[in-house]
Amino acid sequence: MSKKLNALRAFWQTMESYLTWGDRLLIFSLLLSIVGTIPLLGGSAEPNGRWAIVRLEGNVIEQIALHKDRQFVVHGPLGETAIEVRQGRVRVERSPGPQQICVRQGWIYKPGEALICLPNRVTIEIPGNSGVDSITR
Amino acid sequence: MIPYTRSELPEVWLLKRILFAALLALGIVLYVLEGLFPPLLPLPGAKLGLSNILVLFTMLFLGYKEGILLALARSILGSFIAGTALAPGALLSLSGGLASAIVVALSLRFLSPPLGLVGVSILGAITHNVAQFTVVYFLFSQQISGLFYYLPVLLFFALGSGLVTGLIAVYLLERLGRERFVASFRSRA
Repeated sequence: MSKKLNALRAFWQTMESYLTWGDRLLIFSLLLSIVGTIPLLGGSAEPNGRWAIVRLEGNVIEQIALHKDRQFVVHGPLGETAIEVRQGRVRVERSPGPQQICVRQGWIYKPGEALICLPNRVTIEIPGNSGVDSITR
Repeated sequence: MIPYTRSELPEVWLLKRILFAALLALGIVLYVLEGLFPPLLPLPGAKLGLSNILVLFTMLFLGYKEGILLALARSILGSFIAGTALAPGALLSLSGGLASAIVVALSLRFLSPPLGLVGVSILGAITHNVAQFTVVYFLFSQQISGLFYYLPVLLFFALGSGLVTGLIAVYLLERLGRERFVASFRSRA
């Protein structure tokens, strides 16, 4: 165990001896500036965060902001579909369809997710890509 | 190109060309091999960039122009071998490699006393990623929203990969320095 530790320490010391004071200064200042920008960017990304698009028979009837809690009703051909937004998520509270698929789906919150109440022709979609599409090099 | 001057002995001239060819071959091999392995991290753009060690060495052994030439040739020939030539990825690699080689040359020339090879390598890696980011930004900014938030992540990994490649470069140089063959070229740099 201590042999391994000594080898590791020797390795570390060798690596450290490769750095000049200029290198150390550069690494330190770069780390500091990168860490400094993270909260700046994260802060501006949140407030106008995600949106959901509500469509009736394919036409956009409303764009709802997910950071504001609210409940509302969309009138489709079969009746009322009740939609609820809470804590950055959306769900269909009730809908007149026979199978209740969109109601049972529960809350959605990720970009690319969608709730579809087909019988009542209501869809709710959070636009965006669901993840990495491709990797370039 | 490597200049042919009368003052140079033909043997030296030949040796320089051979050394350049060997460095280029090594650079292409590292470039292609690195592309074959799956990325260490599931992030686009996070790559070690081992072939940049060869760019650094060419600049030390032969000169700055030769190093930039090697970076260009490595990207073009390597992308043909890897099968990514003429795809957007190859354009990214080319622009990143060229910008990084120029910055490495400039920092070796003007910043090298305070900075060591590790610092120069970090600057090169960061330039590589910033140049690629700029190209991606102009090509795809309409399709991808929030691209800007990816920059700090990219810079963080550039710092790491530059550090690792720089340390490897210093280590290799120390071992190579024991050979008289390479030492004779180091005096010219």
